[in-house]
Amino acid sequence: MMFNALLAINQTDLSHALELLWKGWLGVFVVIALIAIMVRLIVGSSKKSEK
Amino acid sequence: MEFLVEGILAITYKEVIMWVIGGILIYLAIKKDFEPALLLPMGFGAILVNLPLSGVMNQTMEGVGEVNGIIEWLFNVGIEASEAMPLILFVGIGAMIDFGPLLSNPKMFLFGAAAQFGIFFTVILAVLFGFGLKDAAAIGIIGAADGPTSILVSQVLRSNYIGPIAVAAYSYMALVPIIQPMAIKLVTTKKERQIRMPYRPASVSRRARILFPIFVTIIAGLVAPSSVSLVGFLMFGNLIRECGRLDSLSQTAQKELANLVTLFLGITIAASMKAENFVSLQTLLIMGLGLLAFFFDTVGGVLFAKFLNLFLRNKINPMIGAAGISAFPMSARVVQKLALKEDNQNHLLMHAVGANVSGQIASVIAGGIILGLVPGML
Repeated sequence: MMFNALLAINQTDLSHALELLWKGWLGVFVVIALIAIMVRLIVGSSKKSEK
Repeated sequence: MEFLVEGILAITYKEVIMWVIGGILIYLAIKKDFEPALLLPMGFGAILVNLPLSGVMNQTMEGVGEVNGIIEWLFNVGIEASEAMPLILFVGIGAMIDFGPLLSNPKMFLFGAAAQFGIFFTVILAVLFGFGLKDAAAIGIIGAADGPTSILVSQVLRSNYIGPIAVAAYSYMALVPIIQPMAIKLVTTKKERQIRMPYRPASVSRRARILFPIFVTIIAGLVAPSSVSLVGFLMFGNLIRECGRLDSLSQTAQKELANLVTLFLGITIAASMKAENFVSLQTLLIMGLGLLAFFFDTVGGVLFAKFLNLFLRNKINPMIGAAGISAFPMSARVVQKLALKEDNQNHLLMHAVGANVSGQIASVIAGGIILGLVPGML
């Protein structure tokens, strides 16, 4: 059954899945990094205004 | 008198299997305390929808015509039409989350992103097992370790496997204390697990806590527009909590709203657990792939931490990476417990909580990114 499943692989879907791995995972990192930078700025500016 | 035995004569073996599966879910919920708020309604709903000619699903009655069933109606309105139930639940979840440990220690954000690796890797595995891209993406999102995100993404992508995906997502969230330690020990050494990390949090002002959900929504929405509903509703709930003016709304969102929607979501999801769709080899494959998604999430987070350690003087305990999955607070507790087991003075809880909370945001963003990318590939 597994051999038949492997034969049934759609090559287009596989290349899209690989594309999704690097674009999707990288995309999550990009958004998270932007949010982390924003947090640093907000927390930093809040500390300054408190002083 | 034939009408009395009509139902009995219409029973199929697949429906009987679903009664057993429903019973197992109820058993897991009550006896083992596995996510009872979802597994019990799902289990009972699985029995309801798999009784022959069940009145909870749409039926055509002789002489009357089409009659709507309540569970099918709830599914059409609450999930299929606009994914309302999981999104409204997100308001409640957002109101429950305290982002303080993350805001005071922002480098933990990265582990939330790293631990979404399992989602994307599992998409590849699912394609290798013969699933089409949209179903593979819906299966991969089990790795988000977040029930509403899994349900929403699989519904928007019109996956054929919403039922098994929902069962897998909620079941494996409950199995995090079993899955994660195995995965962590496979990719770390004892010495690495004993790395200590002092906790020196920055103070977080109320203004920062209020601005955070607003800016997260804007940033995520601009970069991944498909994530606006997911991220937006989560952050809306959080803003209600942090604004300090809406205590009663915050309490309502955390308790009554979350409980009400959870109650209906569980039983409504059962509409996707009809025997003819659920009892198949594909369901077993999906359960296996879902397990791998959680496993590779953990591995991805841990390996990312080890990668960072190549460049850092003050090393990170790589187990923190495992806490980046969205299963809050179980994952953070698992990491804390493992750390104490290796060194009874090593308290990693607050770092792990920061990573865990980051995982909640990252998983939702991952769901939005999948919704943004996959339709264009179909």
